[in-house]
Amino acid sequence: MQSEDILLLKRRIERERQSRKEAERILEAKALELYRANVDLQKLNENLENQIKKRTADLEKSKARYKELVESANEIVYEVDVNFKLVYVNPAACHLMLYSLQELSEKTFLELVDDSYKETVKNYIIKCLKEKISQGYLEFPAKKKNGDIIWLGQNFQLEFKESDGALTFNGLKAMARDISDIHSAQLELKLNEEKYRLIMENMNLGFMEVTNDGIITRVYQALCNMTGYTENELIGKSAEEIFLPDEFKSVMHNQSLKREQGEISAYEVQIIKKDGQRLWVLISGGPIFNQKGEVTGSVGIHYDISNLKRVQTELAEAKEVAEASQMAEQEFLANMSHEIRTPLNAVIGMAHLLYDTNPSVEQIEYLDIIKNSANFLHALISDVLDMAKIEARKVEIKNAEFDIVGVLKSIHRTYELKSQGKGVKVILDLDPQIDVLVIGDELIFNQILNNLLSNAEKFTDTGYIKLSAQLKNKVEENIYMIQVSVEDTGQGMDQQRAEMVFQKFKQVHDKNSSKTKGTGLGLAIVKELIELQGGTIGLNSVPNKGTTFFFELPLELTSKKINKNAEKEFDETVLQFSNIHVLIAEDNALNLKYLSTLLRKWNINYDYAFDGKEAVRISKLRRFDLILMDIQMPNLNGYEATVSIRSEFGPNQKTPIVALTASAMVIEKDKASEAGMNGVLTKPFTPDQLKRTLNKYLNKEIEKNKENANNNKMKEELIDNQINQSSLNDYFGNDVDFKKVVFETFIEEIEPQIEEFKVLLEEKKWSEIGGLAHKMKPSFSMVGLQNTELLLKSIETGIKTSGITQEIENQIDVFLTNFPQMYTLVKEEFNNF
Amino acid sequence: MKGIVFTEFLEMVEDKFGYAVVDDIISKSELPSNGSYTAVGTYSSHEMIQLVHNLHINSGIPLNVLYEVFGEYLFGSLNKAYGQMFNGITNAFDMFLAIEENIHVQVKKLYPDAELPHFEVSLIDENNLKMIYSSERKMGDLAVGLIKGCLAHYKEQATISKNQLSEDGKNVEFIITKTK
Repeated sequence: MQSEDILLLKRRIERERQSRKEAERILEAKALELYRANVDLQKLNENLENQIKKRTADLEKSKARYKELVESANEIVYEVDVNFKLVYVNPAACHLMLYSLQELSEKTFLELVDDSYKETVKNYIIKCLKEKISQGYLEFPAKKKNGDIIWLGQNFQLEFKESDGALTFNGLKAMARDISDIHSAQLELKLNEEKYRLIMENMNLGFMEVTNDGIITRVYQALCNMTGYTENELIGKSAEEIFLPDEFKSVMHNQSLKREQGEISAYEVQIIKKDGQRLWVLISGGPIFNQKGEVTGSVGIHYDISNLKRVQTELAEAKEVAEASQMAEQEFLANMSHEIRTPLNAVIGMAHLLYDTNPSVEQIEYLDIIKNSANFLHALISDVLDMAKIEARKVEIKNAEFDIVGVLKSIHRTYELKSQGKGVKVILDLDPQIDVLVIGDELIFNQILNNLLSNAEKFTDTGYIKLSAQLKNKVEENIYMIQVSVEDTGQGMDQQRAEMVFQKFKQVHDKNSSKTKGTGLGLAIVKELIELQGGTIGLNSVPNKGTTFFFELPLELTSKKINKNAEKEFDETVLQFSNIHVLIAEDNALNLKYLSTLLRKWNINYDYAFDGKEAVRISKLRRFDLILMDIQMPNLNGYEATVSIRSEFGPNQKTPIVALTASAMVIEKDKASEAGMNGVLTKPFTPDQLKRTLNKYLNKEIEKNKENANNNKMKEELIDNQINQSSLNDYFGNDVDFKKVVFETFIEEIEPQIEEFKVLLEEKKWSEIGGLAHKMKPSFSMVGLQNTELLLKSIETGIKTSGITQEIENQIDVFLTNFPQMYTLVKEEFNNF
Repeated sequence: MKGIVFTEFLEMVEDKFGYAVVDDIISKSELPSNGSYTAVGTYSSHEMIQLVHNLHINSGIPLNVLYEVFGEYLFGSLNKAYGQMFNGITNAFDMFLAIEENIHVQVKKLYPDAELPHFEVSLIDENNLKMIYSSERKMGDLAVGLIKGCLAHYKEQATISKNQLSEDGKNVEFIITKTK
C-alpha cells in the first residue's frame, strides 16, 4: 500500500514537473512573443510619430499656402461676425476699397454696401436664413473710401445659429470679385440691346426672322405696319407663301441658297400686302448661326422702296427724254453745220475763183475782205462745233499709224510760207530719235499743231517761231511721251492772262489790237483734245518777250522707220494730172462750178452727176481715177451711192471715193468710212486742200499704174510748181548779174524750142524729141526747175531705151501742159531781180 | 481545449474522489500529454472526453451529470481566474448575451489558437432567453453546467430546457426561463 502510494506520488510529481516545464516553455514563448510585440509596437509608435510630424508640417505649409493665396488674391476675401463686423479682410480688400486694414476692421460689411443696395443685401440674407440656404452668390455695388462705386460679385458662406427652432445669423465668409467692368459691359449691352430694339421697332425697317425652311419665327412691328398683318398672323407661317408673288420665287430661292452658304446679300423683290397690294422692298438678308456655327435660319431687313422704284421709273423716263433731246441736239448741230457751211463753201470757193478773173486792185482788196471774213466765219463755226463735239464727248480718238515727222514738217512749211511776208522765221527742231511711225490720231494732232502755230503766228510780228519735238520718257512698253513745244517771240502776256488762256471764250484782249479776233475757243479746244489723249499742256509767257506752249502726248512707237523719200515725194511734189478722169457727184450748182473750175485749171478731166442715182449710173459707164462724192444729195445720198458702187461689180468698185461733207461731226466721218469711202474733205475747202486730197489718192493710183507698166524708175514724174530757191542759191550765190543773164537767156530761147518740140510731136519724130529733151534739160535745171529737168531726162532715156510708150506720151503731155505755168514762174522770178 | 479546463477538471476529481482516481483515469486513458496539464497550455478535447469517460467508469456516475457538475464547478474557477473580464456584468442574462460578443472576443485575444464553441444568444423577452450551442465537441451538457454555475453566481433561479437540434449533439438549443 505504501509502495503503491509512493508510486502514485512519484507519478504525480512527475506529472507536476512535466506540467511545470510545459508551463515554463509556454511562458518563455509568450515572453518572447511579448518582447517582439513590444519591439513592433515601439516601431509603430515611432512611425506614427514621424507621420504626425510630417502631417503637421504639411498642414503648416498648406496653411501658409492658403494664407498666401488669400493674401495675394485679387479677389476680396473677408469674414464677418454675428454683428457684420469685419473680423478678417485680405489685402485685396484694402486695395480695391482704398481703406486701410485698420479702417476696415472698424467697419461692418453693410457699411460698405452702397446705400441703394443695402436693403437688397439685407433681404437676401434674411431670405437665405428663412430658406436655410448656406451658400450663395450676390452682386452688389460697394462704396470705396473715395466714394466711387465698385461692383462686387461675391460667393459667400453663411453661418447659422439655431435658437428656439429658428436660425439666426452667426457670421459670414465671402470671396468677392471686382465685376465693375463686366457689370458696365452688361449694362452697356443691355442699353445697346434696348437702343437697337427701339431703333428696329421705330425705324421703317421691317425685321423678320425665318427658319431654314422659310417659316417665320419672329417679326417686328415695323414689318407688320408695312404689310398690314399682325404678328400672330405671321408667326409659324411660310414667308414665301404669305408674301411672295410667283415671279419673284426664283429670286428668293437663289437668295436662300446663298444664305445656306452663310452669305449676306441684298435684293429687291415685290411682296404682297394683306390687302393684296404689292410693295417693292429692298431685303438685306443674313444667315443666323447657332453656337456650333451652323446656319439655322436667316434674318431679313425689309425696306420699303416703292418710292425709290417710282423715282427710278421716272428717272428712266426722264433719261429717255433727255437722250432723245440730246439726239435732236446732235441732229441740229449736224444740220446747222451743213446749212452754214454749204453757202459758206460757195462764198469761199467763188472768192477763190474770182482771183482768177483778172480783178482790179480794188476788187482784189474787196475779195481779200470777203475771203478773210468767210475764212474767219468758217474758223468760228468750226471751233464752236468742235467744242460742242468735245462737250458732248463725241470726239473719238482714232489710233492709227501716222508719220509724225511728216506732219510736223508739213505744218512747219505751211507756216513758213505764211510768215515769210512778215519776216518771221519759222524754225523746226526735231529730235532725231523720232524716226519711226507712231500710233495716234493724226487728224487731232494736226489740229492741235495748227491751233498753236496759228496762235503764235497771229501774235508774232518779229523774231521767230520755233516748233520743236522731243522724245521723252517711256510710259509703258513701246509708249513714250513726246513733247512738242511752240515758242514764239511775240507779244507775250502776263501771269493773270496766262492763267486764263485755256478757259473758254477768254482771249488775250488788247483793245488796241486787231489780232484778238476769233472765238476764244482755240486753246480751250487744244487743251481738251490733248487731255482727251492722256496728255498735258502748259505755257510760259513773258510780256513783250514771247510765249512758249508745250504739250506732252503719250504715243506708241512702231518699229516702222519713216521713209524720208516717200515723205518728200508725198508732200513736195505735185503730180501731173493728165489722163486723169474724176467723177464729181454734187447737187449744188455753185459747189460744182467751184470744183469743176479748179479741176479744169489743173487739166483734170471730169464727169459730173447731179445726184447719187446719177453718180451710180455714170460710174457703171467707165472707170474713174477718183470720185468726189457730196453727201447730202437727192434721190440717193452720198453714203447710199457709195455702198451701191462698192457692192456691185463694175469698173469703179475699187475706185477711191472722197466724201464732200459740210458736216464737221466725227459721226459723219465714221459713217463715210463705214459706207466704204476712202476719205473726207470738209467743205468749205481751199484749192490747196483739194489739191492735197487729189495728190493723196491719185498718187496712189498713178503709182499703181506705174507698177502695172513695170516702170518703177519713173517716180520723179514731176512738175515744178515753184522755183527751187536753194538750188538757185547753189548756182549763183550772190552773183545776181550771172543769174540775170541765165534767166534772160532761158526766157529768150525756151519758147522757140517748145514750138519745135510741139512740131516734132505732131510729126511723131520720137528720137528727135528725145534729143531735144536732152538739149533743153540743163536750161530748166539752171533756173531752179529741177523736177522738169528730171522729167525731160526721163523722156530722153525712155525713148532711147524702149522707143515711144504710152507712159512717155503721158510725160510729154505733162511737160507741155505745165510749161506755160513754169514759164510764168521763171518770168516772175526774173522780174523780181 | 484550454489547459485550465483540464487542470480544473483534475482539481475537482482530486477534490471529490482523491488523487488515486485522478491517477486511475489518467493511467487508463491514452493521453499524448501523459496527463501533465498546465492552465496556460492547450490540449486536444479527445483527452478530456477520455478522462470524463474513465471517471464515469470509475465512479459509475452518468456522463451528462459529470459534465454538468464539472460545468458548474468550471464557471466558479473561470470567474476566479478571469473575473475582471466580467466587471460591469450584473446578471446572468447579461452574461449570456455577452458570451459571444464580449467574452469569447477577449479569450481570442489572449489565446489566438483557442477553439471555442459558438453561441447564438437572443433575448425572447424579459424573462426568457434562447441560446443555441454549436460545437464539434458535442459538450452541450458542459454548457448546461456553466449556465447553472452562472445563475448560481448571480443568485438567480431559472429553468433550463434543452432541445437537441441535431442527433449528433453538435447543435443544442437552450431556453432559459427565469423563475423568480
